[in-house]
Amino acid sequence: MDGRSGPGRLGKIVAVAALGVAIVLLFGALPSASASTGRQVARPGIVVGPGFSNARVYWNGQNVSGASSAGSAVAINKGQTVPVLFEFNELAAGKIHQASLQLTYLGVVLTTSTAGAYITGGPPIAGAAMINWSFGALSNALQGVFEFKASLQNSTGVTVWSETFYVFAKTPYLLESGAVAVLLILVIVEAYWIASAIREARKSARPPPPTPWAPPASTGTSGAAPPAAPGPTEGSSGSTSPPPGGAS
Amino acid sequence: MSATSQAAGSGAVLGIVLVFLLQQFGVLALSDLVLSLVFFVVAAVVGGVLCGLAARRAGRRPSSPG
Repeated sequence: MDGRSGPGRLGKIVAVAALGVAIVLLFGALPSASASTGRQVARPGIVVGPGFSNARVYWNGQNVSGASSAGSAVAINKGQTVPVLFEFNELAAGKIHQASLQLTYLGVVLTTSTAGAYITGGPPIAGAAMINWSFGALSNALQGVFEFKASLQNSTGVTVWSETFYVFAKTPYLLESGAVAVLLILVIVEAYWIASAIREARKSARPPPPTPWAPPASTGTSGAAPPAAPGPTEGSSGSTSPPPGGAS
Repeated sequence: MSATSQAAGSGAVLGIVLVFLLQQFGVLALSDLVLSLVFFVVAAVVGGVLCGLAARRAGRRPSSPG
């Protein structure tokens, strides 16, 4: 494989692909960004609409309000199904119609799970919703920190409450995740190409080795020409020339 | 293509791959698009500049033969 053209071509392909994905994702994210305006923010990561009291989300029994950053993410193991419980209080009965859970990656919503809400008591009116969530078919490809958005919608589909939290998807063995294996192979390949480029640069910077002295090409028919000596014998190989000092 | 630009290109790709690896190991969250693009661009520029400089320096300094 040509070490000079391969990485350069791959780099161009990756750059063009990344640019295309970035443009597509950017235009895909614009409608959702504009749709989220016009709501009041109660605390970072939580959006509350008018006429609504409060809500809490429990991920496997753990309140997700403490998982508002990648460092404090709640965990899920590979193949695990996690119960996600929504509890809410509302000012008027029937305000909350359903609960939903969205997985977002690079600004794109990968999956959305929904469940109907039901009244559990009151007054004040209390309700709940339950979603059993798992990565499903994505569990072998996805590992790491992912952003989830838990939200409650009214009967017209308008989001009246939402909260963002982070989940760390773990696999028993790190290399079981396909994405990690692919990324590690890419790291090895790129490191090899960088090393080969540096080796190539060193080779080109090294001064050429000194060539051993070679006699001028002989025109005679004999095989090995004797080493040429400066003086009268130069240019007369193959012929019988008299020694210096005259012939007897 | 020179060895310097080859190393810079590979270093840029390596930077992007390392950002994905950090997400996989739970250090970074790549959910927000704009923040992710910032991570990718910074990592690509840093990786490309570092590896390009390394190759350029290796090309300037003659190494001992053998």
